[in-house]
Amino acid sequence: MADSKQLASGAASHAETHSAKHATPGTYVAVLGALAVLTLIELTVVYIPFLGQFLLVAIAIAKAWLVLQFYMHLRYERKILTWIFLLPAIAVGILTVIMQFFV
Amino acid sequence: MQQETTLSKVASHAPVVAEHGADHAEQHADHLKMASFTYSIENSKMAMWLFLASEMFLFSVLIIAYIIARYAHPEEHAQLNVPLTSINTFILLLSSFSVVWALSGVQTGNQTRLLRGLAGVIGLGSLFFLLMMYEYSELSHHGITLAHPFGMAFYALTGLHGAHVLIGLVWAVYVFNRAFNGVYTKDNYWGVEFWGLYWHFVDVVWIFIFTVVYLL
Repeated sequence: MADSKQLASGAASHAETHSAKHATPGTYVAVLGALAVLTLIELTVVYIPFLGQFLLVAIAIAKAWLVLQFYMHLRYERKILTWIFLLPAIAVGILTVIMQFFV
Repeated sequence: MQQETTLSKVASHAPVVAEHGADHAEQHADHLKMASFTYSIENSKMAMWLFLASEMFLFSVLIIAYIIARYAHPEEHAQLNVPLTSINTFILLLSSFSVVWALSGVQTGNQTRLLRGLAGVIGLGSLFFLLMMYEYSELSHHGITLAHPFGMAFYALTGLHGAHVLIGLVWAVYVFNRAFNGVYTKDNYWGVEFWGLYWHFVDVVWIFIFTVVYLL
């Protein structure tokens, strides 16, 4: 009985520490606003020839970064998790850029 | 005489010392259990991120295949319904917000916010999927089918994403059912968090699909 009580209180303190490191609801709302604004910007820069393409890719990366950092909490997690996701993403990015030369 | 008194004092303290020792051993065992619990959560989280990283390679191969097909068939690309998918993009972004809203609810012990957030994701995710199906039927009427090289690349990429949305929805219903039965508390919300990571990843993939497939 004492075991389960202490384990529960230990888990609670662990959860508190964990949630304390998470973003606040205000941050979640601000990120949603930023994502919506960036999407609207995307729909306008699509008409800019050549430069528009670079802007679209840059905005998509910025939007994905916001979701990863704040909604997926990478900002508040151990750095190893960021690298687990970032290194393959960089590899994929390089691969996609190389492929452009063969299209 | 003095020795006898000391010995009797020691003897009288022995049960107290033994009890204290047992308490200490119990606390030590609890700390070990707690450490094991934390490791288990952290390992599961790392496994989830490794899975998501592997998923990224799967989607990137299909994105590259689509880019090749898109430049080879620019006239088919022009038939894609950008306004409809723009609405779908906002729906999916809103569903991601609903996930973190639900998660912040359970983390603060607010079960109502948890259930409303989960119901929001199920509703928005279903709407996304239905609009995707409508888009498919519209495109097939314009002759963009699986038999066409552009259609094959387009449907493979967006269809795989749609399948992920569907899996995420089934998972969401399972999480909702558990939340409704009071399984998740502010001390135990990992089931919501892991499903949330998957759903956000589906959103991140869509961010790139929307840009590469529809806007570029």
